[in-house]
Amino acid sequence: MFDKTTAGDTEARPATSGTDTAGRDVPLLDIAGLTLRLPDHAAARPILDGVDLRVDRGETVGLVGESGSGKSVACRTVLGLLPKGARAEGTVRVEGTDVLAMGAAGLRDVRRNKVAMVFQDPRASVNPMRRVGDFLTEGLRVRGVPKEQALARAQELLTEVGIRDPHGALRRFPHQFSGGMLQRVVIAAALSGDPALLLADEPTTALDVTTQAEVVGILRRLQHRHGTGMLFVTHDLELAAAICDRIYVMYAGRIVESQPVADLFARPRHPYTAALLASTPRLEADAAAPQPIPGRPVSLAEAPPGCAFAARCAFAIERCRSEAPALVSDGPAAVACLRADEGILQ
Amino acid sequence: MSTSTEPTPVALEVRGLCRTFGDHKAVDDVGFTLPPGGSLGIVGESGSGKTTTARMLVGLETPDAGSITVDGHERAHRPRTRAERLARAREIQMVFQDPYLSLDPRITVHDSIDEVLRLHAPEADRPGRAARLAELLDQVGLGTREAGALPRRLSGGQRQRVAIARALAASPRVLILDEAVAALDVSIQAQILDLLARIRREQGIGYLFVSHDLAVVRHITDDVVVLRNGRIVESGRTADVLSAPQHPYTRLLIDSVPGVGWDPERIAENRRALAAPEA
Repeated sequence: MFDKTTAGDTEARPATSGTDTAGRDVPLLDIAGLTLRLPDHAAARPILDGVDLRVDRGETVGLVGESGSGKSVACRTVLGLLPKGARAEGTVRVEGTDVLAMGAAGLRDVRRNKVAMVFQDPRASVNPMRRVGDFLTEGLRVRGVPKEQALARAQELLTEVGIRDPHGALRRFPHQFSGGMLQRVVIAAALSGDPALLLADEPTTALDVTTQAEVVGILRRLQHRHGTGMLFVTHDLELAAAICDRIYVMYAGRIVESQPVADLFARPRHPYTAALLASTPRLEADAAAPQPIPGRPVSLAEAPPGCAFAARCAFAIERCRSEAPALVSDGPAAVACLRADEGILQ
Repeated sequence: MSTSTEPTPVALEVRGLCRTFGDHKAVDDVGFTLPPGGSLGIVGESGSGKTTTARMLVGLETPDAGSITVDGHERAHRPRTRAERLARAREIQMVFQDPYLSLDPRITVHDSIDEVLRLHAPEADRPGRAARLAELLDQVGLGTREAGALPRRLSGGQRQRVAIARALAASPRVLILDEAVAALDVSIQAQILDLLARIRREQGIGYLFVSHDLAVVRHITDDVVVLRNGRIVESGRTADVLSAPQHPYTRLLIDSVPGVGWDPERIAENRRALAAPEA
C-alpha cells in the first residue's frame, strides 16, 4: 500500500487491514515501558514514566491530560522526536519495529511512509513563503511521484478535506487561508503519504467550535475511508469522548487510567479522571457547576515519592504519598491507583 | 463614585455601537445593558466582533458610532485629561486571555499590583496600600511567596489570578473578562471560575464575560448576547438561550460543543447551510 504508483489512488482501504503489511499480528503502534529522562539539572522526575500505549489499525485512541502531563512528548516519540538531551528507555514500535532503535534511514521511512502528524497551530506547520501547492506536493515529490501527478493528487486531497476551488488553492499562500482552512490543508498534506498512523496533537484547539466540528468530521471520514489508526492528543475530555474508541489519561508523565470511552465516562476508576470530569463545565441545563481540583499539576522540578496526584486527591491516604501505584490491568481497563479496588469513587 | 441623582439600575449601557476597519464592519449596531453586579456573556467565534466590542468598552478602540455609558457617564469619545482617564479606569477594567503576555516580565507581582493602587488611591499611605494589597492577594488566593515573584516563576493559573487582582485594585464597576479562562487547564479553569463567582457575590462587580465557550458561559453568566459577523443575532437569559435557542446560528454553536451524541457531519452540514445565503 505504500507503493509509489498508487499515490494517486483514493480507493477505500478496509478499515481493519492488518493483512497486507509485514506485521500481521502486531499492533500498529505499541509503546511499552517508555521512560524519558531529561539531564538531571533540567528536571527532578522523568517527563515520561513507564508509558504503555497501543493503537490498532483503524482505531482512534485518545491521549488526554493537562499541560505538562507529557502527552505531547509521548506523541512525538512515535516520530523519533525526543526533547533535547533526553534519554529514553523502553520501546516505541510502529508495525513491530522500534523507532527508538532506528537509524536515520529507518526514521525517514517511518516519517515518510508510515506515520504522519498534525500539530495544534497550522500556521507553525507550513512555510509562509511557499505556496500551498508546493507544501502539498513536497512529500509526494520526495517519494518520486512525477510533478504533474503530484499536483493532481494534491488537488484531490484538497477536495477531500473540503476546500473550495482546490485548483486555485494550490496557487495561494498560507496567509490567504483562515486557521480552519489551513488546518485542512495540513491534514491533506499529512494524508498525502497514505500513512497507517496519524498523530493528531490538539489539532482543533486553535479553531472555533463550529470549525472544530468540521475538521474533526473530516479527520474521521478520511480515517474511516483509508483505515488509518489515529492517536488523538487533547486536553479536552469531552472532545476525546466524542471521537475516540479508547482513552488513556495521563498525569505527571504516567498513564493513570485507560478504558473504552463509554466506560471511562460512566465509571472512571482513577480519582484524577473523576476529578477532571467534574471540573469540566457542561452545557446541559441540569449540569452541576464545575468543581475545581485544588492545587496545581506537578511541575518537572517536583518528584513526589508516591502517587503524583496524591497532593490534590480527595481520597489520598498516607500510603498514597509514599508508594507509587503501578498500572494494573483489568480486562479492557487499566488503572494506577492504590485504592482502585476499594470503590472510593462510588 | 456613582453620584447620579437617581439610583441607576444599569451599570453599563451600550447602544448602537459600530466599528469599521477598512470596508469590513467589525461591529455593527451592537447594544446591551448590564445591571450592577450582573454578569453578561458575549458569545461568538473569531471574527464575530466580540473582542473589538470589548476593546471599545475599555477604550482601546474608538467607536465610529454609538454610546457607552457606565453609571450614566458617557465614554465613547477619547478621554481628554489624566483625571478623566483614571476615572474611566475605575469604571471598567479588563482581564485578557493570555496571562503570559499581559504582565510585565520585569515587575514582581507585589509591585505590579501596588502600581495600580498608587495610581488609583494616591491618598493612601504605604501601610494603607500594603493592607489593601494583602486583601487583594487574599481574594485571588495568592500568598506572600507569589507576591515576591516575577511572573515567569508563576503558572498560567497563578498569573491569571495576578491579572484579576490588578484589575480589582482599581475597584472597577465592571470587569471585562476577554476569554480569561480559555488558556487554562480545566482543573485550573474551574478554580478561576469559582474565584470569579465568589468575587462577584462578595463585591457586586458587574462582569462582561467574552467567550467562545458556551459551557463556561452557562456557569458564569446570567444573560447572554450571541454575536455573529459583528451583529447580535440573539440575546436573553443565558439559561433560556441555551435551552431554547431561537436563532439557527445559536443552535449551531450549541450543537458544536463536543459531548455525547456529537455529530460533526451534521454540524458541518448545518454550518454550510447557514453560510450559504451569504456566500
